[in-house]
Amino acid sequence: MGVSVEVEDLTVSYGATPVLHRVSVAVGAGEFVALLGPSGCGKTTLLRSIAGFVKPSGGVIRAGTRDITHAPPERRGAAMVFQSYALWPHMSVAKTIGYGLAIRGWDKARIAARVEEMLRLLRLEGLGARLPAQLSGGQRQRVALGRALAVDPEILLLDEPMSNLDARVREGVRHELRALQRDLGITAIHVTHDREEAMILADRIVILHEGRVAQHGSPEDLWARPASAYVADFLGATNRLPVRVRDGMAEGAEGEPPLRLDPGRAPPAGASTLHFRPEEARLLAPGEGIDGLVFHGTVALSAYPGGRWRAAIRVAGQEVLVDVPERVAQGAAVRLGIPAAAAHLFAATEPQQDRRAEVTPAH
Amino acid sequence: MSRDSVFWWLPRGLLLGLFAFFVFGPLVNLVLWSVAEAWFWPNRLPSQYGFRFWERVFRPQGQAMESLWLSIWIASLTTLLCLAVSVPAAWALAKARLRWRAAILLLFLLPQAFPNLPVYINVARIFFTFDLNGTVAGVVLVHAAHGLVYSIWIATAAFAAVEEDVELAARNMGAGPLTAFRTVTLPLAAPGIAASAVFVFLESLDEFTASYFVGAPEVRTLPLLLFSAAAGGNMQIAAITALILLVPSVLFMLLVERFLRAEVLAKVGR
Repeated sequence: MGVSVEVEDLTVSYGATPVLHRVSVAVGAGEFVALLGPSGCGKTTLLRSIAGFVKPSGGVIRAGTRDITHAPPERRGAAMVFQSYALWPHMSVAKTIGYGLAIRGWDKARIAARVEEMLRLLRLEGLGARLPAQLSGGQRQRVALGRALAVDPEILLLDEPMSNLDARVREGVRHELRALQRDLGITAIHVTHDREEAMILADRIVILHEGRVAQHGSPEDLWARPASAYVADFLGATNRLPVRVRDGMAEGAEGEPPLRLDPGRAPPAGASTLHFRPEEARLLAPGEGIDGLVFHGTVALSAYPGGRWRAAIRVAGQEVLVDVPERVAQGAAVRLGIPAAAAHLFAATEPQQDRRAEVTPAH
Repeated sequence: MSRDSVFWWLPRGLLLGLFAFFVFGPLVNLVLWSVAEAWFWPNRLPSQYGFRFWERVFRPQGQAMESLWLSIWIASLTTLLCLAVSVPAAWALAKARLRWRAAILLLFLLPQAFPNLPVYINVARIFFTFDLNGTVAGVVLVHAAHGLVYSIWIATAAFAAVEEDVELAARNMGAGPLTAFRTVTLPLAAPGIAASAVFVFLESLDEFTASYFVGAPEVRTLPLLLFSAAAGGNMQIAAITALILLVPSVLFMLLVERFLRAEVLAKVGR
């Protein structure tokens, strides 16, 4: 059975370079949490601190009620699946999976039975005598997972275990992994830079940005209510348009009705930036209204990536991408509608955005 | 120019022949001497062949066999001593920061930078005060000081070639630092360490200068016997001794060639 993991104010530096700044993450027993972020955001460092491979300079890590901040790696009850798999080139599959059990002093017959069980569970039957070099990438990944699961760990740490698999295999492995983790009731912490993978696997996602927690919450929550421009951008809302906020209202194109903002999420009055996803915006028919923001633009380009058309629309000197059901003629004047729920507004704090806001005619 | 042309194959053939002569000529001379029972100037070839000298060397009470076993004994002790020092040292060095590692590795290379002769004469003088001259222990010590260069450099490379995650995976599975070292790190570095051991063994087996100043005349290793035989004009005994010395070298070189992978060699000195 899994135990809860609590990370409190964890600070880690490599030499003089700080990597994690007072990061706090709480993971419930049996919960699957994904640490999501681009490379260099500190997610792997956080995972390796929990595993005991990295010494924090401050903060506390607890497993259940136990303080493991300074415990050696072998006394943490956390089993890790490495990104490189870290299989032992000189050890057979059976030896590798049974390694943790042999360390725990199990007798040979019991180890053999458990290894057999793991091989069956991971569909590796008959490969027990093979060396890592004689396995495919997918098989290696399952051996690494088998080694970690064989010891019935309280905490399973996954460091991008699927980044070395091809896309086709990955899809299947995700669902297997999720089902296994649920059946076994293990607490799982998964590091990934793949947004979709995090969304599919995790109960909760923690998004990291430059060594700090940018936001955490359920996948749906993060998707619907990103707390910052960084999170919105990372979760696919890559289109940006400058907007003015005044009296709790956001103004789109001139002559179109402004959008009343949810008081809890409205940015302060002044220049702000609207983020939205290509698949959540649409083109409006002449005279059609929408509960949201409307912009005027011209079609710069249409492309067909499959399923729907994707149009690049030029609005106020910027290009945004929108999914449309049919091809739209290049150069056509269009009205672009972004529904209220899909419009994520953040104060334009970055200098380049300030400058952009200044050149808009509305200013 | 066609490959059948004389101008194509003749220069190549000559060059190859010349090359072969440089490599194998001395060997052929050794073999000839070892079976020559009578070979006097100005004869080009021995006038009488036979295995009389071989029989003399391999006679149970013959000095050559005694020296051979002594040499192997000294080489084995030297190898063990070097491994006992270099395995822990190399493991620590492989983990150390790169800058320090380079400095320390260079330090081990330093004794090689000086001319051997004055170094060994001084060593002999120092050993004299400790009663180490003319003892096996003394010879083993000087051989080990020399062999440590190889063993530390190669073993450090072997340990550095073991990925850190592989060792951490063992710790992660519940192994303490020593168990992880014994079950994962050491087996993975073993080929490189074995190669370093072979180098040390061969260096000790062939070593002459230090053995001469520290060991002679009480400790007569095979190279010392070879020297005195050759100096005394007994070319047959010298040739046979040299051929005997060749056997372990060739055997071990074949072993090393199998053991030492390119990845390990690429890390030597880094």
